[in-house]
Amino acid sequence: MASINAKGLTLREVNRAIKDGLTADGEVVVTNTESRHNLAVGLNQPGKVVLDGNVGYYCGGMLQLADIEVNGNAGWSVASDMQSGSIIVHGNASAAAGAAIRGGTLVVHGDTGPRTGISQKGGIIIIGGTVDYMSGFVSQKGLFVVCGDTGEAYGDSIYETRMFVRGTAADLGNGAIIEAMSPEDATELSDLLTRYQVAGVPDASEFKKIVSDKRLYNFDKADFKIWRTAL
Amino acid sequence: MCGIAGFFYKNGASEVPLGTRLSDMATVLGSRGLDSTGMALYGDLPADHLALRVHLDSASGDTEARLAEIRERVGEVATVASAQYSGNIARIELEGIADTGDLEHMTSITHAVESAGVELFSIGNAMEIVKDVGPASELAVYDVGAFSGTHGIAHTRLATESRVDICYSHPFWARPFPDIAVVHNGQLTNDNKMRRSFQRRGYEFLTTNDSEVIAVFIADRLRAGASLEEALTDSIEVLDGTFTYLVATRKGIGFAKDRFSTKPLIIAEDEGFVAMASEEVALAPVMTATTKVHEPTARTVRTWHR
Repeated sequence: MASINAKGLTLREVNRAIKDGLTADGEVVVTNTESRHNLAVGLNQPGKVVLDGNVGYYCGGMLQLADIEVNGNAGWSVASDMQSGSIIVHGNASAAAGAAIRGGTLVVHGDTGPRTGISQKGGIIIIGGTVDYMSGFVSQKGLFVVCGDTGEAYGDSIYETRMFVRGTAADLGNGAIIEAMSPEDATELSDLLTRYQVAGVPDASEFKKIVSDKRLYNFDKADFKIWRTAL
Repeated sequence: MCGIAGFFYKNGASEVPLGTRLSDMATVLGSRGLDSTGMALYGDLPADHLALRVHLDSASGDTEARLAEIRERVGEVATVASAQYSGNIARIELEGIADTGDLEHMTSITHAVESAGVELFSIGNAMEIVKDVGPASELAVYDVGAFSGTHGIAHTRLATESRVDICYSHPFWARPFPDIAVVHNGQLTNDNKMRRSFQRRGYEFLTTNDSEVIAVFIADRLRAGASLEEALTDSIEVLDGTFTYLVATRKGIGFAKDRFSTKPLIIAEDEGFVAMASEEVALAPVMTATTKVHEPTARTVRTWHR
């Protein structure tokens, strides 16, 4: 296992060392992360990266294949544009966690900020705590699980994403409705919660399923009134 | 973008000077803007004293004569205890002020300074504003790192809304209210309307900057009897736009975050202090192993008081 002390290294040196470590050992631990931005961005090879501490913005951006674990908090846009692989954050994450992912799995054991999972296009997002304002906005495809409460306008203008919320979803966004969960949904949800050991592994029956009512699938000027209240 | 930071010692001034804490955070926040850097620092002066911070454009020369002129003009409305300058900023201390909350007197002092053709950064019994164009390192000439105090706010600016000029840099003083200042990250959309409304009520503004309006809004609410927390809560409904801002008064410090939650703020709290900054990386210099970190959600305010 390769070990990298990030203190005193430039960002480019840290990210280069992570790639070299993955190539040589398949497993890398980075210490003294000190909330720095852009750590482990652009990885495109299998292996495991442990970031031992808090990380800043855009951690693990554009990820392919590798599995990243963050032993701390993450700043804005952790895992944004992830294509495959996984990122597990043991603390909290800030705004736009999992923005626009196309594949892979993002697990945040703590809370996340506003616009979590915005424009999700595939993959799986699991949040152990709560999400803030406008999470899931224009989400198109994939699975988005929230074990805590949701903020205002949750799931606004979504398409085919399936969302599961255990806490309150008091303020759903435009076009988001609660639908009965299928047995297949429940099995899939249980498997995920068990696999990633999120929020004490609650029972799938405690969750609500939220999907699109398909009113806003296509742009229509007549919908302008609805959009005005969206923002 | 802009970076904002705040620091509050819960048990009074500590061995690490307040100015050092804010400088360390502002240095890291330079990545969010290098157009200008500023701080509002809160210390302790005798009850009948006021500190004035005045912008002297030293490059234009003859600084001693200009300081003497300001001293003379202020001397007509208050007793000057001391006056000196370094770099672009003069510090004038007044004494024998019967009531530091007397707005009429504060206005006459403000007008006296400004009649010399210079900008008055701040008046305070506790607060002193130091700001200049460029990164945090530009403030070293003012010896901010040695400023011992209880709390303060800092700002690094990426100019979006008005020009790069010391006059438009943060913190914004709630002119002429003593000891109230704001640092703001965001853009308001109803600031012109609010400014006109305040002007009709007799308030004067030094700039067309939206953040100056926030400072005056808070000061006006406090004067009307609201608590700092109430004033901040009101602001979330009254201010239109995207914003996260910090405000400091003689007694405390607080933040307000808008309903859109687009402007970041991370709070680090420990037994002895509270530190806030746009990015967690700027809190790293002050954090210890026991420091708890969290991010406030949309539509939240919080205050801390001495």
